[in-house]
Amino acid sequence: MLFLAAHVSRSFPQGDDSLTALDDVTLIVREHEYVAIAGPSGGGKSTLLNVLGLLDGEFSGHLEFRNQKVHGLSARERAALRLAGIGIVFQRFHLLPMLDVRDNVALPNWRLHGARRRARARAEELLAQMKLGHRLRHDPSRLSGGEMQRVAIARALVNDPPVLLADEPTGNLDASNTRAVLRIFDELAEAGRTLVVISHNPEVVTRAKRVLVLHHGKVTVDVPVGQIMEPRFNPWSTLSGTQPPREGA
Amino acid sequence: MRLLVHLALRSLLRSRLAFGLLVAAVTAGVCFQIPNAANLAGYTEELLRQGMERMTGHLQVVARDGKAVEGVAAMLARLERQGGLRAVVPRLIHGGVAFKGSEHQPVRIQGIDPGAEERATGFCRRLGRGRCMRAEAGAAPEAVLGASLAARLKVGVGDRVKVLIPYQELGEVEHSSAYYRVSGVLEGGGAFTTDADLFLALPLLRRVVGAEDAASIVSIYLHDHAEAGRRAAELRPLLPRLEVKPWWEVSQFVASAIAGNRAIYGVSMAMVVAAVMIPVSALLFILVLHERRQIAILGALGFSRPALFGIYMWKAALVGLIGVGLGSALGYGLCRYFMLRPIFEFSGFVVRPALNLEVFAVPSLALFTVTLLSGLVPALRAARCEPAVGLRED
Ligand SMILES: Nc1ncnc2c1ncn2[C@@H]1O[C@H](COP(=O)(O)OP(=O)(O)OP(=O)(O)O)[C@@H](O)[C@H]1O
Ligand SMILES: [Mg+2]
Repeated sequence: MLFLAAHVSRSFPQGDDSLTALDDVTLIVREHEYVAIAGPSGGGKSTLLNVLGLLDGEFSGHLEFRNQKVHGLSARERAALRLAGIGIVFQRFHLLPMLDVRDNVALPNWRLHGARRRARARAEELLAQMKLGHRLRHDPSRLSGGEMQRVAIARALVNDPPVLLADEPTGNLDASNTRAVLRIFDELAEAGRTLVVISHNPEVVTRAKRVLVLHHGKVTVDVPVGQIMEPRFNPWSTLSGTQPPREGA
Repeated sequence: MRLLVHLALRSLLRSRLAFGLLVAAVTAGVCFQIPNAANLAGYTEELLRQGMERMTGHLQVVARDGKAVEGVAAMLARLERQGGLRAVVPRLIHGGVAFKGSEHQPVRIQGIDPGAEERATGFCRRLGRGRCMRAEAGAAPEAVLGASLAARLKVGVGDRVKVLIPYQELGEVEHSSAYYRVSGVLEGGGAFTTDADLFLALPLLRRVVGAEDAASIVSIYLHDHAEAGRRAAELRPLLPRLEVKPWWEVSQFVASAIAGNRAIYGVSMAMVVAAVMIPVSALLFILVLHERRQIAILGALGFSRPALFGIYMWKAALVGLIGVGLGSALGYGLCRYFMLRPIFEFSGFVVRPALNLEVFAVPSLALFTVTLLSGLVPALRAARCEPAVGLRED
């Protein structure tokens, strides 16, 4: 089991009140799964990804990563687990402006093993796979959006983590770059990597094998991808069952 | 660690203006404080050199009742056996009047042993004109005049001056009146030379005033002025009826001028520390705020809080190292400049920067430490970053 979340809740203080972004979420992600998370804006998708990605330790409930309890770990322990075991890709790429493309990718590996040369060799290898072998020494700000996202994916993979988490990875990309990223995800999934991808985009969501829908902080749908377009589950239909079931309904 | 240094340097190089200003602040502090420290140390050295190495000595032996010290020959022999004393110099001081033509001046007359005086203070070498007086028995009576006295009497080397010396004999005041040939004129030394004094050979003055084995003071010269206190304590039991004073009791002007120097140094150091610490910590803090997203990215990638803290401390350390390096080089250049153009020069009293390790090491280490301390709060702030929050910001 890669992730086991049981009764996980996360709320943010808002003035005197508090806003519940995750409300008693229970879910399991197994090794080698390809999971998409969909749902309306503000539904809690990013909040869930931050919790699963060990970026946010302020949740309540029980969370295990690869059968290790992670709730209650210190920020330092979470950072160490994240460095070696979790790759994260963001909508806005989040490349570091002060490093060139190769060092952006090499960075987590250099940090993990302390060997710069080895980290750079690994970065070059991954960038070649991403068809960016000719941009190694370039400034990341010079790249196109699609290229930046491929650099970010290479960086997320540099320590060969068992799982890749992606929050709207294609949100800033055009159709052809979206397809390129999806092809990479397909290859990764085939190679056995676990993928958890958040997206609004049906094209992205339907590439996964399993789809979760988050609504008001709750998992309202958890189905194989084949069923997601059924009207009761379809998160893009206004009549979908993604609304919380009404009492007595 | 190399990774943290690499990230610190890359990130500094990305904000060149801020980096330049940070380095400039430290450089300015170091390159101000090094010549300042060197000049103050040079001033202290000159005070010590002029004030006691040339005149008072590091220790002075005087009689408790303010009269002359008797039995000087035996005392010199006893001190000789002590070892570790660079020179022991007896002086007999007497009042008198000097005449030349229609001019006359009341003078302080010092009877000195030219050989011992030369060994202790380089007295004969420092004469601006002429040579030292002869001290052998039977030599013609000669005198050395301080430069201002010579000027007032309008005499030069080779001229004769008449000197009247009163003394007591059997309770009556008598006086000697004789001609002395001016063998040399003593110049320079600023406030400390006895510019208005008249110097005679000690045996001659002793004979004139009838005090064969007496001295008004016996000055003792050491190899190191810092030994004065310890040496004074050692010598006191040997000279029970006499008073042994360390230089700071003899020359309170020198002592308080040196204390004043130390105070100026302390105050200027505090000002430089504040002048470096305030802009450096402010700039480093602004950089941390400015780079919140980058810090959050590093955190999200798995950099722990100590690692983020380390990156920002390394930034401060790099700024400190470069600033101190540049500041020391510029400070050394300024010191060379002040060697050629001293900040103070008057009548042989010259303040030149003292180029020793301390004047470089103390400001450099202090300002490097200050730069590190200035990095502390910004680095703690960087380490406190929550990646999940930082990544939401733009
Ligand atoms: N750090 C935070 N502080 C306060 N409120 C937050 C914070 N993070 C998330 N929220 C709130 O929690 C709720 C869920 O946010 P989240 O970002 O998880 O939504 P989402 O499903 O990712 O939406 P979108 O599809 O628009 O990205 C929102 O109402 C949001 O305002
Ligand atoms: Mg989101």
